[in-house]
Amino acid sequence: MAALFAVLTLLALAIQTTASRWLPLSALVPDLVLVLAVDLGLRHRRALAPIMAFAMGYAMDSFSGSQLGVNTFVVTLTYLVAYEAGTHTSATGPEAGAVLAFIAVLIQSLGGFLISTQFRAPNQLGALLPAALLQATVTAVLAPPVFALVARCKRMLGLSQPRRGRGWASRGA
Amino acid sequence: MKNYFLWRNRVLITGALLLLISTHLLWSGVHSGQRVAKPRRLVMAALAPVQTAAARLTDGGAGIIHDYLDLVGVQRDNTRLRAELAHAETQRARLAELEVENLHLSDLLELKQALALKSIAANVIGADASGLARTLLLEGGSDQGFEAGMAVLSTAGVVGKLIAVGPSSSRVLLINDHNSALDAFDQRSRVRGIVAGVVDDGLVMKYVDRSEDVKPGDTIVTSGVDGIFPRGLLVGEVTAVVREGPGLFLTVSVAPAADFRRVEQVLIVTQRIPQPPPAEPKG
Repeated sequence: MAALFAVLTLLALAIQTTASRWLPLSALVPDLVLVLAVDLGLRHRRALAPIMAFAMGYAMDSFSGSQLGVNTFVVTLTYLVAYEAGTHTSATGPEAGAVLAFIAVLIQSLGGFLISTQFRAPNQLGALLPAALLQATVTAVLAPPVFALVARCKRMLGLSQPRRGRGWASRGA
Repeated sequence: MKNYFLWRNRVLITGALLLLISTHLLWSGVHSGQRVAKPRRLVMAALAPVQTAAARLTDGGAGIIHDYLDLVGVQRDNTRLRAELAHAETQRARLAELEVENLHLSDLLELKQALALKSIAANVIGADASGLARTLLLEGGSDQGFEAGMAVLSTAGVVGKLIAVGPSSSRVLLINDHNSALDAFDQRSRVRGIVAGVVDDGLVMKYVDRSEDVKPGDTIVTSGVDGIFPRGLLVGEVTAVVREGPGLFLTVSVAPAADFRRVEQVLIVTQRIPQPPPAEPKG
């Protein structure tokens, strides 16, 4: 499973770093790594999963922004939120995943901006918001096909789908 | 009982610990620059071949893919002829691309000679992974002599500075990123200020006194006093000057000279910049 997510993260990063060169707006580039983190949180319940999310965020930090740690933090947090959502609610479908990806992109864009400016320019958040909303929407729209692709890859590789957790009893199982 | 609790919550506990580590990364990054960046170089080294291959695929190979997709469903008799045609078309496109690349490199060579400083050309192989921050990925790193903090230029003007350098790839913080700042002055009136990026994709010149003479259309060039960018390089053109409102300073909007979305080859200045005489620019 870890190898599959490592390969998918590499592909996602390759797409994200090259896509903006042939798209009219860089905000149209979806954040596929965050979508993978949501999939990981909703469907993978082993202790290795948050470590994988951390590594995915760190890899993204190597190719994004000027502040190391922003993506590592947001991707790990996204995994944990998705994990909790999958554990305590029945929201594990692609629609719920898309909503989580939407929120995660907003947190990453706006939170990342605040952190990298050390909270000195909150007045510029309004200017960033349209681009952040656009990117979050594109990511949310693309999230269900990405979940389907990941599920297909797992089936092709013979990786069994871990059972979906519901409630306290399934935590950490 | 204690072990049972830990075991049942091991995912959350691991996640919480990793969140703490990432907070430490953030904190260390904010307060100590490159101190925590060593593992990042390893990641950049590991991912650079993938990145380069992806860039090659999108730049050069896209034509081949399109050409061959067109051949799907064509009768067998026509396959060979169509393949030859596709090959010829691809070759023609490749030659045209090489011609453009040659032109860019000739321009860079002229810039390199005009600078009279040691510099190395590098290809742009990617943009920022998040899409919202403004960085570029370059082919070439410490193996070529690149170091963090070096100036990155294009034939159109200043592009940015290196912020992370791996063995075979490096990242440039563009001058229009909100974390970027460079010392520059108005070429006509010699008024000095700090040019910084703004969120909505332009540049602003900060700390220009309200009484100073800055007009739309003025050319902004680097001052050279920051020790990163050589003096006199084109940064951009003043597009608007706002004098209204409170505050001590003017709001000067600047359009960057370089088109960061289209830049394909850049020049990295690897030599230390000689400091200019301090007296000339005022402000």
